[in-house]
Amino acid sequence: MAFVRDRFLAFFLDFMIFSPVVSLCCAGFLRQAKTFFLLQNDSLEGYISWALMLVVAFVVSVLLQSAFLFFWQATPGQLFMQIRVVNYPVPRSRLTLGQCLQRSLFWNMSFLLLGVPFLEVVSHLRRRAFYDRASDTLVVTHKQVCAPAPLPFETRMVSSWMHLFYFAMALVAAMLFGRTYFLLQKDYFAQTEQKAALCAEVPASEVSEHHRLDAVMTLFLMNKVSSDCLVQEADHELWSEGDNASALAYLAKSLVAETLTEQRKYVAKVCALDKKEICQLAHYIHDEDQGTQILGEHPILLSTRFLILEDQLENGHYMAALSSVQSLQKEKVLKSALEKRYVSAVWALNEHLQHHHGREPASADEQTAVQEFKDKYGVP
Amino acid sequence: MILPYTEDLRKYRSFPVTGALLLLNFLIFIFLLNAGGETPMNSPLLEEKAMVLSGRLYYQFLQSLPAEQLYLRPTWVRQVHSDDLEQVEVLGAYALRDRNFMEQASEQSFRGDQVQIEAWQKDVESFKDSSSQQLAYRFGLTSLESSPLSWITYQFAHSGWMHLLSNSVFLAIIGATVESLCGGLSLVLIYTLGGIAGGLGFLLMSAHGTVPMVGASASISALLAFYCVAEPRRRIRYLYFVSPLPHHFGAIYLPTLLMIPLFLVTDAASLWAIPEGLGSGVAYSAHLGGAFLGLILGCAYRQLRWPQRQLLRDF
Repeated sequence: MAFVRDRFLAFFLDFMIFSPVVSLCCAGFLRQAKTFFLLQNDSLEGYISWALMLVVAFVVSVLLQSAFLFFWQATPGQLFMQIRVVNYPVPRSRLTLGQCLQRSLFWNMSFLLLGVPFLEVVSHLRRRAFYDRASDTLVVTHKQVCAPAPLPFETRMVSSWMHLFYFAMALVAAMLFGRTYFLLQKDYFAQTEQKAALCAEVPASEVSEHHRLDAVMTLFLMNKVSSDCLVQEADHELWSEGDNASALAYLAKSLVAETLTEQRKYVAKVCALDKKEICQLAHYIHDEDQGTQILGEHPILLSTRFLILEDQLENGHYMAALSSVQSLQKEKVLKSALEKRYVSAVWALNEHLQHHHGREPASADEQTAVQEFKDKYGVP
Repeated sequence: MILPYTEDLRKYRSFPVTGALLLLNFLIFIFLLNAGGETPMNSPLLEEKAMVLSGRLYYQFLQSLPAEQLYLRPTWVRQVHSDDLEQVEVLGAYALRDRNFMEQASEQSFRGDQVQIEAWQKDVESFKDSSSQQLAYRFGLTSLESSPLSWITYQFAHSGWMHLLSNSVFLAIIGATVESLCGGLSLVLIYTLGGIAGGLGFLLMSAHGTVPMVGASASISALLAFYCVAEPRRRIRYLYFVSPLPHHFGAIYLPTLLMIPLFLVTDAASLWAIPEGLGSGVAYSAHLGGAFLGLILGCAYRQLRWPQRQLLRDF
């Protein structure tokens, strides 16, 4: 029988010789898989390429090994280490092709069990692992000194560890099976939708495409959406519209600019493209000493109207603020976001009415607004 | 672990040319290390957002190319969706490797966020300036910098200590072997011509690239291939180590031809496995170019008559 160390060294030499050849055969599939994963992390085509690559690697390994065993009764490493694979128990001059293929197939499949079946080389009486027993072969040495049989203790110890390992593998396989089935029932593997170019925080159904960016910017000013959302919307307009991109997109970018220099460049760009409301809005937002009179009397943009609303609430013009809120709430996407300001305006108006009760008569509109609020929320 | 270890290596004084080549590589590396300029690796162009921007601009650049130039680019580049920012980011990484794009980037007008584009064009200029000051670009070989001298200087420049060390180990072993076989002049000839052939191989595979190549790997591949063909039947001693147990370490004699699958076939497989248009940090095409020349020189060596072989050895 061949020494275990000689067989291990032969395996190492075979790996050195065969792995470049197998790599060469698999290189095309690996290249394809890498290309698929380059553009999409979870590409199905990439996974299929990987699987095909593994199949090719397996088949080429089996064929290479079988060819050497059939023609030379040994792999290259075994030839160097003066080891041969012979028929056992029935002596024959050469191995048959079927034996070579069978032995190679089971030898390679041993790696699926993390190489544990190879331990039988240490424990078996004649150092025959499963692939040797399945193909009726035996590994012998041509050296003058041959390996002794394993000690009974070695055999018992290795066998018991192998049985324990197989049991553990079976347990892990059963758990994986159960977990996969469970995830399947929970639609974990369901196809996910492609990422949209627009911000997911503002559903497309709640705002029309025409003033989507204006609505998102208004929500940003209310701190209802993130800066990433605003950037995504602005970039979508800038990069898809190109030269026709609106000044509003540049204004949105100025709101999230990282440096003052960048902010000023965006504001300059805004005013280069638009001399009216948007430029005035940019100056109002970024120049703190500007009053709302700069925003004009009949603003069109939602953002402008929102900033006017904020100013009205701050300065105590509650009826005007209520009117602004009701006008803005006609936009579906702003309705719930402005609810708090509606409540604030009515509450402040009510407080004002109670505080000034008798000193000046409340207008019919003010009383109507308060009563509507009470009816809406069931407040006594 | 298994490493070649020829017995002759202990007689290091017998290999003056190999020693000289090693010393030259080491001295040039020290010189380049001390004289290195500002690294372009800190450039804002390499940040994620800048990569996306580069990708968007490169996408517009591709749309402006005529069909025959567009089809010189890899297939996956042409399949990128401009709406998918992850794909655009990958495209941006490729854009920095496209020589034509980088040359025109500063002057070309692009659609989109003009403030970002203006800042990006300034970053491109400073990136190109700092890159050109890098000694790897000045002494290395690229399609941008391919002066006659760079074909030689790149063979002696290395990108780091590990690069130098690994090449030096192989140069010491194979250089000593080739020098003992056919003398110092042949060694220098094979080293230099192998490096030039490796450079040709590299430029053939990356004709439009901007990344420079440095290192003695192509020259060493030429020496390896030369020796495999010149002395195919000779056995080389390898030292192996599996474990400290008795009989698990020692020496084994393996034929020279074993080096072909170990190094050259592996290089071919690695080159083929790289996605089109991308690099891997190792210039496999240069290795193969040098090896190809080494194979030819090895065959030529075997055709020489015995007296001529003796003459080369005595030189």
